[in-house]
Amino acid sequence: MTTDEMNQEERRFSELLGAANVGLPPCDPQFMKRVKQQTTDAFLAEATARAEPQRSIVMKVFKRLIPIAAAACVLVTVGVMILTDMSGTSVAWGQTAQKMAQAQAMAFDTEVGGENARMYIKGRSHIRLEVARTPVAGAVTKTASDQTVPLWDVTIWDLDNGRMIMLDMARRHSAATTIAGKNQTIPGPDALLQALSSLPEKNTRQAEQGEIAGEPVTRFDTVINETMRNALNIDREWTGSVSVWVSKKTALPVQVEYAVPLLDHKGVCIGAAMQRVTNIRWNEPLSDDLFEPPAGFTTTQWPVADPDGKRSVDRVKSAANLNELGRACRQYAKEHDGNWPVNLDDLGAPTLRQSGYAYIRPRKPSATPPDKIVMYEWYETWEDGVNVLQFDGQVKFVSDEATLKKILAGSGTSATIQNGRPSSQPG
Amino acid sequence: MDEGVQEIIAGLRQGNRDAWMRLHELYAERLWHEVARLMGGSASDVGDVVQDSFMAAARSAKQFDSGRGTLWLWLLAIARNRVALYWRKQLPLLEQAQRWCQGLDGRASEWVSGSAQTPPEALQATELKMLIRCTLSHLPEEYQRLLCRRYLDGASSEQIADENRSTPEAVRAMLMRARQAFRKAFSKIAGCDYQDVRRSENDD
Repeated sequence: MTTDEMNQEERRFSELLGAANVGLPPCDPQFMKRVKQQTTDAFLAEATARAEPQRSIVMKVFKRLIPIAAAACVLVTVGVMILTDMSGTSVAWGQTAQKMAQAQAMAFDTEVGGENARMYIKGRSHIRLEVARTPVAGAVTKTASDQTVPLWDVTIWDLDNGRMIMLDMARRHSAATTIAGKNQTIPGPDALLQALSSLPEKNTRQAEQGEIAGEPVTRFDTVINETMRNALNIDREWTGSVSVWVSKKTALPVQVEYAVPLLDHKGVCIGAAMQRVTNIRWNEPLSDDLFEPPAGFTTTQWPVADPDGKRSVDRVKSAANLNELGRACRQYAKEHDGNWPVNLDDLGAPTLRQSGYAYIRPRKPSATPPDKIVMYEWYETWEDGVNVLQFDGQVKFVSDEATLKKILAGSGTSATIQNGRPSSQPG
Repeated sequence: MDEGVQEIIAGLRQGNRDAWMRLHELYAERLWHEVARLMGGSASDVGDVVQDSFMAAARSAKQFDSGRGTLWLWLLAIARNRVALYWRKQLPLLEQAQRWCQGLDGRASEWVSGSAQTPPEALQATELKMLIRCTLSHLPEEYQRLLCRRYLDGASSEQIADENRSTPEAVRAMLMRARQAFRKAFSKIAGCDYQDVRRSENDD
């Protein structure tokens, strides 16, 4: 082959391959920002999970091969213990657990790893369902999270007095409600307290002495091993890690960090969630001002007609369930050329509650607007409102029946009602 | 190796959050671009693969061994595996592209061999683009990188030689082998008759 022929062949080859270089989807900076956050969490969770076995190996080598160093280590440890006793009270985890069980109020600031609030809620729900075992009756819990949780930035619960307020700082909106009845355990921020109370003493070990804001503290580390049964009835094990800094003066936690895996509806790990809880204050009185919406905020008053507070619990659970159903539907669509399931039974996810919802299948998913309602809680008589699931995965609470009817009428499609209820529109 | 990259590697071993974030900032857009041209398709498909690749990298970052290659090549290798998985799931679309190719009565083999120019309307065909991308993603890593650098990025043999501490002659020889490997893989994936390709080369 001559040089000219070779050049011609190369030019033609270049033209041919160049065809694959046009019409490529551009990089989406917003998406990459979310990936960055999500993978950072996974990276840190992995780093934390690996730290434990590495320490064990180091200690084995230490003990077996360098007995003199081990002896020196013991001497240093004794020295530290003496110093610890001089600077403050030493703390045992059992003592901390007992103190927490007696506490009536806790307030804290929290920072959630991951911008996706739904993921955060999923991670939190695992903490509650899999780890939490002891309900905290009558506890008053206040949280103030930063703006990485877009749903509600601040939630204040006062279970003793049956009131709650949630603030959305970005939209300057608040929702207030009353929870009639006392001694309720709600799936929300009190999960943290429950999770802490149920950490097993034998697996929670002292790791480090230190100081936080000038206060001497002891750090406790523990690894949580739990099993979750997925949609195929296969038990999947997952491991999370928790570090708790306990004040030596009060024997109560002042800071907590935990990392848990995020599991999808089939129980497969899809990432990790991290949460750091700082500035924990115990038994701090809650001022009435906290339950007044700040100036300039619009307010929604949620009417509550259930005297025992059961409905507010069910609503939160139902919203989480709808969220999971939405995730399962989108996963289904991904595996079926973009088509959504004909009905919810097609999802094959028996762990999710599917009854009691009206499902409106998006006929043309590619042309469906993000705010179109695809699922809502079925009702026969309108009470205080229903949770709805939008096509984009957001779960919202609609408190006005006329608004719901207007949205549904605009969608122009009829709903399939799960659980053998009549196939018709509400009202 | 760049000092900044060395710092990132050291940070990754220590489980340092900033190191991971710097790695992401350094390579995210580049990885998207690489994955996009090996896959084409929609932004959501590319996004899934990029996300999955970074997630896998996050889980194994602490074990990264700089003796086995650069940080970028490690990340790229993870993404390549995900792209290969993606193509395995695209069988119905690939079969459609194969039927399209087989309906051309061997002309695609001539285009790939370089014995005939590819007409502009064929260059715009989705089926051809899909077959090219799938072929590229199935090539050995070094051939894939070389072909992309030369024919998609438009780098000269001299530039590539400079980047790889090689000579332009060696690069040209390797390019010839890479093109040959591409033709072979394309014929297999597109379901064309490879004998036809070889015959047309021999005719030249």
